[in-house]
Amino acid sequence: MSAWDAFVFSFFNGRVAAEYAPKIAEGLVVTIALAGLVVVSGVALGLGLAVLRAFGFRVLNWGIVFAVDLFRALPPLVIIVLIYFGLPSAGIGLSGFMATWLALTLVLMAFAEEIFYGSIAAVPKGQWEAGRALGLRFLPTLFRIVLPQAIRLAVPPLTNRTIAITKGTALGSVVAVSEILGAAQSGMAFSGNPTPLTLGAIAYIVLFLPVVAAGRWVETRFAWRR
Amino acid sequence: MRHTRTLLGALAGALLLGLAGPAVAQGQPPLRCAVDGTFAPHAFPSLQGGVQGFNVDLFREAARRMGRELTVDSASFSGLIPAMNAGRYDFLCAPTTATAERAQNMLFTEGYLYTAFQFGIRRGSQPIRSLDDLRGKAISVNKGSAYDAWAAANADRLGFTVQTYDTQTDAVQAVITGRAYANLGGNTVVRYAATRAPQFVPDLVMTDTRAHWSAPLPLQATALRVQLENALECMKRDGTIARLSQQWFGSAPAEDDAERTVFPGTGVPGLANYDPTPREPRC
Amino acid sequence: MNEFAEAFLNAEIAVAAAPLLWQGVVQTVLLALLTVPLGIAGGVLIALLSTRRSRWVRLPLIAWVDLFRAIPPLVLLVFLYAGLPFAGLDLGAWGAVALGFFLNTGAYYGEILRAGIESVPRGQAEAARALGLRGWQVWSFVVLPQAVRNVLPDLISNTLEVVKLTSIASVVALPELLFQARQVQSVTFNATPIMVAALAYFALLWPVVRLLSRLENRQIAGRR
Repeated sequence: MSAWDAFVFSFFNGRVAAEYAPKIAEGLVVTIALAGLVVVSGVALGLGLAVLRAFGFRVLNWGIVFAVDLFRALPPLVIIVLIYFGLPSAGIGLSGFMATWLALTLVLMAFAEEIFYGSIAAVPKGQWEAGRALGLRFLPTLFRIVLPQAIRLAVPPLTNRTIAITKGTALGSVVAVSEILGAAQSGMAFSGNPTPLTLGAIAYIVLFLPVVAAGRWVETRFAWRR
Repeated sequence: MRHTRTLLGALAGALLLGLAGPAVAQGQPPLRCAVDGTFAPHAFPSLQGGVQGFNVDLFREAARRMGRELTVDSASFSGLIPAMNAGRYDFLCAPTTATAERAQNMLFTEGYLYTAFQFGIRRGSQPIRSLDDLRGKAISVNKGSAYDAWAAANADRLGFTVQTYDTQTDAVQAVITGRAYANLGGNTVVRYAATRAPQFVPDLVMTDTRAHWSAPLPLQATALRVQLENALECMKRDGTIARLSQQWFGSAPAEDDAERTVFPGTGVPGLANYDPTPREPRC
Repeated sequence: MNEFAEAFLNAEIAVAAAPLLWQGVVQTVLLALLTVPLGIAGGVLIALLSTRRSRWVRLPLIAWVDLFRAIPPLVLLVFLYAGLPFAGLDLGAWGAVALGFFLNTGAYYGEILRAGIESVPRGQAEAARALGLRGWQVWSFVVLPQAVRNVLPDLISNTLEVVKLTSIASVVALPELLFQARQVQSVTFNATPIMVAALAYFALLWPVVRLLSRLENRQIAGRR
């Protein structure tokens, strides 16, 4: 067997690929579902916390800032393992899928809050004053004048951060979520051949490359012109 | 880290078995093997650092008798067989079930232990009387193990779901925390976990699943297989394996158990790549 | 509540685990000292190449960067560690981690540094040349320092992510902090070691997060 044949036999083995492709495809569905849920819940919670922080209740804000710091400082894998293996002793037994969803949601929430709040603070004071001058109260000023501008400011940094955190769905393989990586590792163990891992890597590229490219476009499209 | 582990292991081995026999040969590279280091009592971390257990002692002694040094790496089980096939290890020290499917793709020595598939459940759960009781339940297994393969193959027929974990310990914890109804593993491992985790109890043994636990080698390593199997056979003859078994599992093996039985030929009788040519152990 | 404390903050287990966890902290610090410079080196390389006008350099470079931003780092690491040996290339755990971080975090650092370089007005380089500085002098004394200053919060933020990311090395049995915690957990069937590891990460990284939070707020305010 030539070196090239050996390489193909190992990484692009047709027989192994055919056998494990359906499993990887199932994993792909799990990854997409998990990623979608994380994005929606993480961004929504982050925005909610940022708005809450804009009200300026001091004690509440300390709590928010601490939570944000906590989930920015801890590695996502550590949070997942802690939720999955630790929480059951507190009577909360989440499935691997739920634990991964919750952990990544908390991480994305922290980053999103930081970005949204920074953006709200960056909207010029004059905009608030203009709202007041038009006779609007605090809430209408916040929601109809300040937030739309803040969200526009937040889009570029948030997009890339969201993509990076969403890729963390692969960490779910550690807590028995049979997403792409988990399915690929099992396949590799059974077949003694790394082709399932090649398939898994291809699945991730197919899934995330368009997203990364879109993020690049968003970055230039939404960039604030000086 | 690996060096301290090697050193500690060597010290432990020397203390346990007493030093006799050939000195370690000069010039030969050390044999490289790997265990799943979270698989008590076969290979598991010691809080003082390093990895300990039945399989660690077993193969250190076997290597010593072969006149070779041995390095023992520790990694997830699901990665071990691929890593061996890729050339990272000369053989696996991890307890590996000799199955017909695996025997197509690798060599096996004869078994040094019999293993049977056993379930472990959470204390207070309804015991499993037959496999039909598994319908609608979740079973936790170690990723890439023979139990994983069995569970994947029977999940649809018996109507249970499978959770696969990087380590056997995680699979046991899934049962303790109520995420899975039962863990499927080897009998020695399930029983040992029960001695360490009071909420975990051994349950149904699948009696028709008795198989050899033996050392896998890459397909081309025929000469090394003969040497390794020869060392294991000598350790069966002089009672070394039976003694380790008593030490780590807490009970002496029966006369007809694999710890005391020298099987004819080379490999696991009845499986692919078994060599029936008679061979007397040279000790 | 008692059961909770028993499972999360068991003093006896914490004490028994302390030596191993300390070894883990040391390995994590060493790992950070290896991966951060490697990532920055990869990033500088990418950023310098990206200033080339030629489409034959720029397009493959964008593809390269996006490829390694699309593959989750854990997948890349598992591939390098468990897959590459089949091609006869066995890097071991440290080698796989080093190469994986070079490829993955290099792509991120590269994007940040590129943005930094683009933010330095062209006139700066032209002025430096007019003063008689050579090409490499222009880069290392005029352009790069300003570029780094302009994107400093992003650089620190990415470095924080890199240090956190070293926890995935536990999956390839590199004995860093999370790996050691999981080892002790596997012997004790108790979550205390993971909790202690989490506290250690937090203690190490909280000051960085605080610093960043200030820098970033200033940066967003300045972006308008």
